[in-house]
Amino acid sequence: MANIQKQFVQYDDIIRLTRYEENATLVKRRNAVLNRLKSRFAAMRDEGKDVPTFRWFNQGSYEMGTGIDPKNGDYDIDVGLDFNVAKSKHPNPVDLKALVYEALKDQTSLGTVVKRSCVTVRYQIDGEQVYHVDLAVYTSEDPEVEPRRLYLAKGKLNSGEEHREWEPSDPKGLAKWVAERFRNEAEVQFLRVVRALKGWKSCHFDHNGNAGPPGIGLTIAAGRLFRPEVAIDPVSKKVTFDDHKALRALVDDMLRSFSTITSEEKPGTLVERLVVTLPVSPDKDVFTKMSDSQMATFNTKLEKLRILLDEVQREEDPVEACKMMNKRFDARFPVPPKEETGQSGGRAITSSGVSA
Amino acid sequence: MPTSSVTVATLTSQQFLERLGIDGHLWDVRAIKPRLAWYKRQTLSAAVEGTLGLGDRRARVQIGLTTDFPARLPIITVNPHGEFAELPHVEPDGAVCFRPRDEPLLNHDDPYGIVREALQLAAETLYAGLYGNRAAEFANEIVAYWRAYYPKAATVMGVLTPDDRARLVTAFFDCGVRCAVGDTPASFAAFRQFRNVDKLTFVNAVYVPINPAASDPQFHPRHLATAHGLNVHVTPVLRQDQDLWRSIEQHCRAREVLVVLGVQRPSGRRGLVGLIVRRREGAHPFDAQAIDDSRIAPCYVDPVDRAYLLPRGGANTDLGRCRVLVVGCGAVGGYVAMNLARAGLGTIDLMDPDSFEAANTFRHACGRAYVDYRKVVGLKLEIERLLPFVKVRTHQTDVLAWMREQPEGFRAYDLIVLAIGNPTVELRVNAVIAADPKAPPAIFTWLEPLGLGGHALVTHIGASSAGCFQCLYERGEDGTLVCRAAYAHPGGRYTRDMMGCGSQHMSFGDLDAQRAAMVVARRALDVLQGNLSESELVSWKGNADAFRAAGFKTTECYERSPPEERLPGLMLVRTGCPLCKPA
Repeated sequence: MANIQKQFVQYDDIIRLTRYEENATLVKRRNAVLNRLKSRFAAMRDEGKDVPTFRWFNQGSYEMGTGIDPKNGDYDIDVGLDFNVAKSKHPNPVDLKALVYEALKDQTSLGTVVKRSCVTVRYQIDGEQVYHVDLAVYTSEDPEVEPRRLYLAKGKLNSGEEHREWEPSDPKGLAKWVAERFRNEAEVQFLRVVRALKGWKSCHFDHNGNAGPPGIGLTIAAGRLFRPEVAIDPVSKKVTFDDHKALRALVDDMLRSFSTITSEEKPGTLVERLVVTLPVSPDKDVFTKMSDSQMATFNTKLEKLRILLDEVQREEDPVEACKMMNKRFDARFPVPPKEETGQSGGRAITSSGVSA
Repeated sequence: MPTSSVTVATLTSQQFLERLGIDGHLWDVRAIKPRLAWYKRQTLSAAVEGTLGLGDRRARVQIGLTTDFPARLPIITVNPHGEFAELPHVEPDGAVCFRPRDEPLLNHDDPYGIVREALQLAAETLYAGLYGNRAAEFANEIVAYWRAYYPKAATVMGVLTPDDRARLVTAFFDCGVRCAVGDTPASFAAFRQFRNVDKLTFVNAVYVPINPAASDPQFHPRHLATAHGLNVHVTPVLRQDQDLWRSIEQHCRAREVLVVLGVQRPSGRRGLVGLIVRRREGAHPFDAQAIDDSRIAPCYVDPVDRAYLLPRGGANTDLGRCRVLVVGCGAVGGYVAMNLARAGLGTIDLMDPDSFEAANTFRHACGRAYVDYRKVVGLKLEIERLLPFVKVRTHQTDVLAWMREQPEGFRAYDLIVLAIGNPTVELRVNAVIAADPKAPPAIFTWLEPLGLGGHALVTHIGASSAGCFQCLYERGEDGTLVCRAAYAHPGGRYTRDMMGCGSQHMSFGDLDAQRAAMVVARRALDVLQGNLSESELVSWKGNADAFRAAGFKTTECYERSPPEERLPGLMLVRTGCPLCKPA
């Protein structure tokens, strides 16, 4: 087979997003929102409102190193707001979200929206939305007890009681689980393959709704099923990655993990679903929001991906192999010029660098 | 009786010697006056005498502490003319030799304990002499007694194997002085520098194996230097072989006949002692009627035979049959050859077309001793100057030319060591060895520039070549041939040019060369003794400071390798190596 590892790495360089602490722009934008929130909360307290303090933390794909460049250009910054208040003091979880909304509603011209799991602040540059900040609101049973067991505020501003809840959640535990799945070179490859899978998803599924598998779902599925394809030459100590092989194996394992279960949509009907549970609280299936038909589409597209990767494996010419990936995986996958992939003769006379 | 060190800590040396009596270790303790000759001769700082119980016997002993005590053991003596003087481990001056065989470690903080335990050891020694197998003890220590009893006796080197066969041997004279005894002129030549006995004269001598302790319970070493001892212990052995008896009569015609006695020691190898028997004119040298004590003089035989000397240096006498070819006699090859010779190799062949230059002075085993000599010749001379027995042969040629002339030449050796620092040539040699199923194992060794490290690859062991020298070379990312084990970034210009084209050299230190040679020698011994069953790459890292300061870059291999690493053959195999034949 052709060796297209170099192109896998180049593709990753194209799609990957650096983590918060490595990306000054994102840090700046995140801090701007947090500063605004803190100052507004202070003003609200001055007005006599009961606004609890909070501490914040990074969460989401950027924090885990699985973030990719969104195709639609709308960058996503995920921040957790851990309020220093007992859950019991706010039986209605939307109350705290409303406070955040109140503080930030005039922050941008695009406005702020209270979604079921977070408060989203949208930003634009030159008239286009270029990023948004998702603020997830958490409380705990008792903020005096460390480590805190967090609960995520779920519900919209006008949700009925049946759609509002404090859902047990462990965003830090999830990030830790992902970070500790693999070490060293294996971790490097794991994150790269997850990003590639998310890059593939961004090209093959609609961005809106639950048409495609959620990114965190792909990350956790990979966390459970990924097998590194990393070789270290015991003599030269050079590390050789085979991302293609690792991705092919992961896709194959995901397909093998689909199981036949009774549909919740149509009780009494059997459907094929990929069930991957969160490794932390609330321990639910990460693909639960996908409908049966969306899951069937996901299955079919994974099958096609496996076929593509097999065809790529059989292709001897790296240029042709990359063309396949470019056409059927992601148009951002680079195709090298022909001369770049030919076997270079190298110099026939060189310094040996040894003596005796 | 235990006495705490606290109790005696404040006592003077003289006081705690006297304390031995108070504690019951010694009776009738009396101080010895410093003016006594023994006291002065031994430079003592304190001394007492007292009585020691030895079963149903009593011994009067003297204990002295030298001025170096407690860094030295106490001196304990008995009367040199008394009833205990003839016991084993009692020296002619009466000193009891109670010192443990291994170097003792003395606790400076417990001087009284040292004295108490020394006295106990001396008592045990005397007791064993009184009630144990005295003859066996004397036989065991025959050489030491001979030295002690006859300190002024002449010394000859003994280059003969002390076996069970009585025979005629050869005594050698240098400028009229008897200097050695050996089986043949060739055996002594093998011991000598430059391997010849051309300027020596030699006469017949006699070697006689005896076992006096078995036949005489009262045997004492001094008996052997008497006519009676000769008649009892030596002559009967010679008479058992009438041909030898007649040969001695016919061929030992010199006025003085050197007789080497191989005294059987219960604990091992025979001890050699010598007698010079002044033959009565016309008589057989061992004719009982013609010998009296005045015709017998002891001499000391200093053993220098191969079986005696090599194990003392940790060398292996079994390696005497092994033949090793060292290709490349530069810094590394020179030390390799020297190490192998010291390890007891029987035959070492040296191959190098170059000559020594003054520039080699500070990084060669030969220093500046052989400037302008061919390297193989100079190294051979140096090895033979320093070490006996090893046979060194020279091949003043390039290995590629030698291989052309002798396509199967490697088969004559048990091991090939390549230390030429030229991987192009070494790849070729590797291919030749790999292609010949009867070729021996090979060790390739080379150094990285500026003390960055070094490597030794042992390969072609047994039927498997898996992990050969060619396995270490692959095409790099740009297609250029690179060494997978390299610590220095490939393609760099690491040679230094001090005086133009002919003076280019790669800088490394003499210590780097010695380290490589040490690794190679150890692996060579492993191979020759059958302790290595597969290829192995040994690599070691040096400090990279000088290398980096010169503006050079290290490889990933250097950065990620441990300080020293041993990789087995299967880890070395490179997919696509045309030579490897994994077992």
